[in-house]
Amino acid sequence: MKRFLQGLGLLIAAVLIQVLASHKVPVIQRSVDLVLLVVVYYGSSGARVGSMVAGAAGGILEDLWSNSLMGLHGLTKTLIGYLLGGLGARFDLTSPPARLMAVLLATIVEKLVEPLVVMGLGLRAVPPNPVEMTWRVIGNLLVGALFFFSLAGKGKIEKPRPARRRRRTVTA
Amino acid sequence: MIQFLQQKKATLVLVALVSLMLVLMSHDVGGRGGTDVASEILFKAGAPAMSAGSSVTGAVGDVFKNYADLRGVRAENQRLKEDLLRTEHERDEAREEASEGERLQALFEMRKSLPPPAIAARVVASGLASGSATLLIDRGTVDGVRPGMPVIGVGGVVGRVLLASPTLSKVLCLTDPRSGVGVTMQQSGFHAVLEGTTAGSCSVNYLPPYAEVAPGDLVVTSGLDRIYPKGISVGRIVGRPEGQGLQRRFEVRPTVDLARLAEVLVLKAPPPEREPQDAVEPPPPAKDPARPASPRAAVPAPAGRSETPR
Repeated sequence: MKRFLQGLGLLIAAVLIQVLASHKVPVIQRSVDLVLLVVVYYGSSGARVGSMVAGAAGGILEDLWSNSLMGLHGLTKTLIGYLLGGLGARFDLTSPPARLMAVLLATIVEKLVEPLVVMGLGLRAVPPNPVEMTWRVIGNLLVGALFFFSLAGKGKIEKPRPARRRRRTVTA
Repeated sequence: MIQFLQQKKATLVLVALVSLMLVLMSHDVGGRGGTDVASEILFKAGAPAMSAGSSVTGAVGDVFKNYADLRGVRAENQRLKEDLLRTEHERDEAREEASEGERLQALFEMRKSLPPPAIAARVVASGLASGSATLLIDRGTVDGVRPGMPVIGVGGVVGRVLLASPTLSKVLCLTDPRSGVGVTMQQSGFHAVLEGTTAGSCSVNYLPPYAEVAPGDLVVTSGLDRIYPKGISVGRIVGRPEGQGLQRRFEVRPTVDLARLAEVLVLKAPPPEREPQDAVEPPPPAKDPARPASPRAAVPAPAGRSETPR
């Protein structure tokens, strides 16, 4: 429950900051995706369901406040949460550099999946702009570095450790 | 069944969420341009949080903005204070220069009416304490200044040179108790002697008992003392006389403000040689111990008087 509330608070804070800061500093809207960073944070921790739910909820809120196609960002972030959650369950991605690599991957995947989904719905899709994508990657990496390094070791979602094997006592 | 759901939980959640998103998207594509109920509910649900967040970020932003403004205001205030001080200093300098220009102009005009040559000098120090009235001027023997030369300021007589060094000279002001000036009452033409007093002013003495003197009468130099040229303003009578008969004394306020004197003229013309018929015995030593008599030896006694009545 605590983890859920923590994640919910983090997600709401990310959306609020994203929407409100974008209003004050427009470059943030173009360069940073805080909801994606939260999804990456949970996905890299191995919380597959949590990252998907965070991605879906954050994406919907993002769509709602950004007036984009309702569910578009929810879908892409849900997929990213699923993908990263799977990777996080198999590999240790909890170190900040690994999470930054995950941010890089997630940013690119999101920018590539969005037009595909739009095209799948029969709408006219805008192909990804390399310059815009580069700015988004740089912004996400910078803010993500701040975010992950400051949160390193705090409230980390640890993967369940395998149960210790009992030492067999050898009896003579 | 439960175990199956547990194992496939992630996949099931993915399917559910993707389906939900697809439904939302298709619904949004179908009703694009309108406002659907789901969006309205979500918007209304999220509005308070957004409003609160906006207030918080606005307040935080205002704090930072006010802080930045305050820092700017502080720096600007400091700069404006410095500007104000500098401007006031410049204004004072300009006023002083203008005042000095006016004084020098007046001195120049006065110099034209005086017998040449005369040299201008600046007052570098003054000793106008009670019982003594002297000035130091920045001209000395190098410039031709000699003891005994008259010193004139804007408005009238200042005094005479008492001592002269190569670059500085000491001027004995007419308000000094050791000073004496031969004067004439401009209105009536009576001659008298103007002496300094210990109170920092001066007084006219030795006027005939029948001489009519009124407050405000102008006192000018008579030229009989062989120091000061004739006809230069000295002061004006103020108040009522002290004493009776020949011992009447009239207080005189000098026309030159000695306390604020900045520039003077030293008349380099040597005092005219005494003619034999003008030679008079110097007045006897003053009976008043506060009035040393020696510097007053140059002042001639009133005509027809063999000794100075005190």
